[in-house]
Order: sequence, then C-alpha cells, then structure tokens
Amino acid sequence: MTAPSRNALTIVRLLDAPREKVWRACSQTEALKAWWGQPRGATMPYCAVDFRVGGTLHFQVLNPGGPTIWIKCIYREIVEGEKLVMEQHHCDENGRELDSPDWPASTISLHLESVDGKTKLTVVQAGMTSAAHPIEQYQEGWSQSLDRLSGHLA
Amino acid sequence: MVDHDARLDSIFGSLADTTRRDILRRVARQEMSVGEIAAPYDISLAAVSKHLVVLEKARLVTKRREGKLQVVSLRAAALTDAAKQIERWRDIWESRLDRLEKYLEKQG
Repeated sequence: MTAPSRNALTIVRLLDAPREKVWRACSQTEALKAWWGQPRGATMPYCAVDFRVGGTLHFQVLNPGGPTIWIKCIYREIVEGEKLVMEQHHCDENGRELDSPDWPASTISLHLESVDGKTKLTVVQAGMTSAAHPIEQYQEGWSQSLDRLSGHLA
Repeated sequence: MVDHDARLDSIFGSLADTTRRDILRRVARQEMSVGEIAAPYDISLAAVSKHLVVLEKARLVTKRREGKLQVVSLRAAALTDAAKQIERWRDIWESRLDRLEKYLEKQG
C-alpha cells in the first residue's frame, strides 16, 4: 500500500466478520445495494454491478429535496478476498462521464486484512483534487513563496 | 485599492516576526494543533496564541475546533476547496461503513 498522502482520504474500520464475508459484501450486488449509498437519508434507486476488471458499478443517488447524482466506478484491479481498486466518475444515467472540478474523478481502493477472525478494512480515496494542481503543489508553492518572503524581510 | 493595501499591510505586518514566519511555514506543510505549533518554541502557549491571532487577522491561517483540539491550517482558497472534497467523501465513507457494519450483523 502506498503511504497516505495529504491528497488522499484514508479510513480504517475493524469489522466483526471474517474476511470472506466482508469481501462478499464488497462485491455482490445485493450487499452493495444495502450499504454503498450516500449519507443523510439519500436512497439508491438504481444500482448495477458488473464485477470484473473493466466492469462497472453504476448507481443513482437520490437526495430528498436535492439533486439526483449518478456515479460510475470502473473496476481496475480485483484481487479475490484482498484488494479492490476502482476509478470513480460522476456520470449520467447512461454512464457517460461528467467529471468536473466540483466532482472530479478519483480512485478508490479497498484493502481487506484478517485480524484475529475480524477484518480490517482500509479505504483509500485519492485524486479528489485535480492532477494538475495537487494539494502538495499548493503547499510547496506556498512554502517557497514564504521562504522567499522571509529572506526578503530578514 | 485601499482594501488591497490594507490587506497587504496586515500580511507584511504579520510576517515581520521570525516566529510567525516560522509558524506559517510549518502550517503550510501540514495543519497542526496549537499545542503542536507551540512545542518547539521556548515561549508560552499564550504567546503562541497571540501570534496565531495576528496570522488569523491577516487571513493567512484559519483555526477550527476538533474535539478538544484547536487545529490551525493554512488559508489558501485552493487548499480549502480540496479539503472540502476530502471532507465530503470522509462523511460518505463513515456512513457507508456504518451501514456495512449493520449489514454484516444482519447476515449473522
């Protein structure tokens, strides 16, 4: 696994279930319908899963009183029981990609690890900022400007 | 122009101090708590807080509460937008994993 970056979101959760079971929950359509939605009362009226490398997880999120969102995740890497890497895009009902600065494409990876009969699930989502302007670049830029400014003021 | 000049004055004023420049450089690399910021300096926490107020007034840093901690981060529009995206997805994932836990429980 790559080191966590300031550009990425990492969440670790220890789940009280064996790894095989968590893997099924991450790969089977009925299970995904039960949990892979969005927060705060949103529903997922449509969810289609084609679980293979190059296949997609395509779903619709309906926010009460808010906009309807379509998201498509393309499976990029599947290591049975261990690892899942997907590329997430904002899209329309036909799966046509509609990435924008407000909804940039990102990469999601799930890592499963057995820990005493339980499963440690690590979620990493990266690339929410554009590749052209990662957070590090802003920070580096700022750092350099400040160093120059400090030199100037000293 | 007056506003702009006033803002520049406040930025330059706030950067005319070695400690404040140092704080800003460290916070630019990584956001940190007030305690973490104060750790390497041989001055009181209150003195560090005063420096932070000057940097906040110059709109160079922003402070937020995280539980018992006050976390200070660099205030850069681009950085904030990126952080917003990350926070939005953090919410989504926490809620997804709560539902996953419940789902696994139900499966027995």
